[in-house]
Amino acid sequence: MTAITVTNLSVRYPTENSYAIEHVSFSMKKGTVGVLLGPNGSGKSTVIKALLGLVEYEGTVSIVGKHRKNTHGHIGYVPQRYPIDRSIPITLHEFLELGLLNCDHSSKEKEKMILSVLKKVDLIDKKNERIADISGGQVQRLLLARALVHEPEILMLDEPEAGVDVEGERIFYELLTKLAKEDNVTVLLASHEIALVRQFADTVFCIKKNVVCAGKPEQVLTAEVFKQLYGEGIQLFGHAHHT
Amino acid sequence: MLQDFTELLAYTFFQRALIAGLLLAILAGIVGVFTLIRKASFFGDAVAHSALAGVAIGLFFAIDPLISAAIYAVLISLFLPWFRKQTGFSFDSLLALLLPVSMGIGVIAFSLLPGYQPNLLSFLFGNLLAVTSSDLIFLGVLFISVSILLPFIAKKLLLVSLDEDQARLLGINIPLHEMIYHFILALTVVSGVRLVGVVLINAFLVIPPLVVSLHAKSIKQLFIYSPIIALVSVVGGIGLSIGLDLPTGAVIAVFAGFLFLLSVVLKKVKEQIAVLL
Repeated sequence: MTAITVTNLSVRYPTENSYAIEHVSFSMKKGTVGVLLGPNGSGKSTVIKALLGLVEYEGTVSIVGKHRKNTHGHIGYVPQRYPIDRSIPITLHEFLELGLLNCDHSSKEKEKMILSVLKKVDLIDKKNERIADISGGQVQRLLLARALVHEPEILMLDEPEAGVDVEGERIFYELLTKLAKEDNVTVLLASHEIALVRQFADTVFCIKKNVVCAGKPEQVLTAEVFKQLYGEGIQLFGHAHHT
Repeated sequence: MLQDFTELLAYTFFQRALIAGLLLAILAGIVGVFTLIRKASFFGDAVAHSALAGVAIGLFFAIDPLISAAIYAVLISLFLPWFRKQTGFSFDSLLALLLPVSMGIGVIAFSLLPGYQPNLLSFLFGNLLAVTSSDLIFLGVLFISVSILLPFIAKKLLLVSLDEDQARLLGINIPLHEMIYHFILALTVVSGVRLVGVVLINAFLVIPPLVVSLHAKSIKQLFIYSPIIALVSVVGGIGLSIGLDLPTGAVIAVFAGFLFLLSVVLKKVKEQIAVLL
């Protein structure tokens, strides 16, 4: 079953003369992990933002068979960075509670959902601590928890590995794969962590203003594609038979 | 000092000022938390200064200055975010522009009134004796309205203030909540103009939540203790101003500033003790 269908997606920011992305088209199957791969400024984050409805766009976006405007509650979002000033004394529990606003659940159900998602990301013992007092990797897992707390069908992440150490990244990606395989959540993330992408992605979409190529990691992560994305001088290490 | 304070309690003007101060403290303590979260301290200041132009316009046309200031401040606080969106200018630049222009309009309008200077000073720095019954009614109505409205919108307004993208994803009406916040902020600022003046009113909004943010363990605590610190500032400030025979608004602001310093020192001491243990 198709979870995301994007057709001719184009975005031009009000302050820019040229398009940030142009005629991007792709689709994703339910319960898979898709990665938007590309250099800085290639438009990965813009694709995510357009799909979330955070920027104006041209083209059509269909998520779980619905038009983008009717998808509130179907999508969870993990931003690049913790969006709140660290000096604001907000607890993990309070932060997740805000992620359940506009949901039709009772207070008791909401509490259950918060505790369940905190267990899932292994932060249950920190629930009453201030976010300012936990580590960068834990903050990233908390952002994932907020994205998941309302049990969405689609999860979108914008370079979630920013500011997280290598081990933290690996744990994070394993969690994403588990979500896709066990809970049938469709995961789409923007990333430039090639090694992790190779290991965990089902589909890779190479982006440079539009979709340069798409397919399984072993098909897509080739020297030729890399040259196209990053230019000369960038070499692909690890899998010699692809280079 | 305590005797002076008790004696003054018998006077209607002082009762009015004290009630106005207490209501304003609670209101500003709560609104100030949103202002702190939104990093909009300068916005409150600009709205306060723009209120001076509203006061002057009211006096010029013989309308209750509080009403004209309220209308002017509300219009400015609603117009600014819209204007920023239309022009792409930063908030900082627009506020820096608005502040002197509004002050200028205010001072010009005051200069056209006979005997303007005492009035101008009273609106700039506040005057305990200047709080009228209609001011108190205005503040009371605002206090009750906010108390009724806030439980329904507080969490959504909090999310809009903390993380606009997430609020948009959850389908929260951001323009509506921003408008409500700006509306409440403008009216809170104006309601304190008589007591503490346009120059000092921002101390009510900014200092109490700052003091509490250093020690609070949750957002809930921030909302509970911020009005309490504001109340302590008002009662302490009024008491000291009577005892020392100094201008009330200025003493309240300085006293609140002192509480902030005390709070910083206390935090540092707590951190040192934690290291030693």
